[in-house]
Amino acid sequence: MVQPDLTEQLIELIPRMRRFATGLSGSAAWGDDLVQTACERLLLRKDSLKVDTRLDSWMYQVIRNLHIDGIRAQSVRDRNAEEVKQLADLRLVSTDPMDNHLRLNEVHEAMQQLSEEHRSALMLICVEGLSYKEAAEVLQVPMGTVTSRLVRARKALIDSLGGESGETDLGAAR
Amino acid sequence: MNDEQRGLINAFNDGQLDEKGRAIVKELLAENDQARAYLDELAELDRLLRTAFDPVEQEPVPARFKALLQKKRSHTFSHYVVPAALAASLLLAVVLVIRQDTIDQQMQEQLLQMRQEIASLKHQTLENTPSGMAASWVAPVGQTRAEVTPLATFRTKDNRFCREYEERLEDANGVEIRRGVACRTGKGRWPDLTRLPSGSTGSTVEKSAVLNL
Repeated sequence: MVQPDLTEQLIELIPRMRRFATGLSGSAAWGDDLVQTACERLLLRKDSLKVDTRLDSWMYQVIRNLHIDGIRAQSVRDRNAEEVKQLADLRLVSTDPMDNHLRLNEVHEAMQQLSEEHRSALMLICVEGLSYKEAAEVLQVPMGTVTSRLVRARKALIDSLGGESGETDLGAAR
Repeated sequence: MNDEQRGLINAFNDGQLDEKGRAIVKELLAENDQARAYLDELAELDRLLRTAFDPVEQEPVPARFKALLQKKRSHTFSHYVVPAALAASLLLAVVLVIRQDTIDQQMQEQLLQMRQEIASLKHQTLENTPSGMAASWVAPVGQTRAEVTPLATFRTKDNRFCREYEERLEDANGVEIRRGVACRTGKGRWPDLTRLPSGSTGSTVEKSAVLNL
């Protein structure tokens, strides 16, 4: 049986995990796939979970690993889907309801242009609100690496959102 | 500003400094316009990021997660994927029968109903079901059964979510499998971009004509 308290904890975590997975993968559907797979893994391996492991750290970590593995598997699929994608790009024009939220759309777009390392640092610290120490645990790198990654990731995102002129002031870019 | 100062301002913005660190940054901010502008940029960036991603966190937990966590049950679909037979074949048979049948009208309604059910299955599955998992629909009468499996999810350059899926229709006469790509136009709305038959044990052309979902 699934321990009831574990299940409850996990249900409480789902909204945050979905937010993280969506940001990481760039897709709500894909993000939900990641969260679901991570939950299934947790339920399978719950007995091996160390007592002192923080459930949210564990979940962030598994979601990220699944995402990284997914990218590798996806690259094969992507080649096949390339033609379809081009078709989609041609046909899907400005009927997207997200057009009303152009700025946020830009954020999503810009995030997906970053490296996975930068994206996960930004999601964990700026969106999920983890401390540098907690983020270092999830990413399994030293804290110094997290801080330098974060500074570079923020710079890359600011540059990207600032537009082609190289303008870095977000206020001016709006 | 040097890299060390940028790092300090980031840590200040993120609430990661002790009192001594905060004092150093405050001093820097007081004397350096660039530093102040940089801190503003960071705060604005964080605000944008949270605005972009918080809506996902505020959505109610989708039912599928509750179902997964509240019952310990296997999600391996092979357990409830029954060997196939095909809706379209049945429908074709239905069409043939009703030519001579006095209950023509009733059958047409059933057929229409069936199409709607299967179309609705596709939309719901693409909206809610992770890739690799199948969702199925079984007709209340007869042996017609439909199954939709999302295969992959991707995003187009204009931020549209699209999913490749496989649709399997079955009845006593055979199986038809088709693959398609549908793109989301709104909650629960996934019109097809492309859809092609990828395999069939029956006469696909006629079936496709009947089952034009």
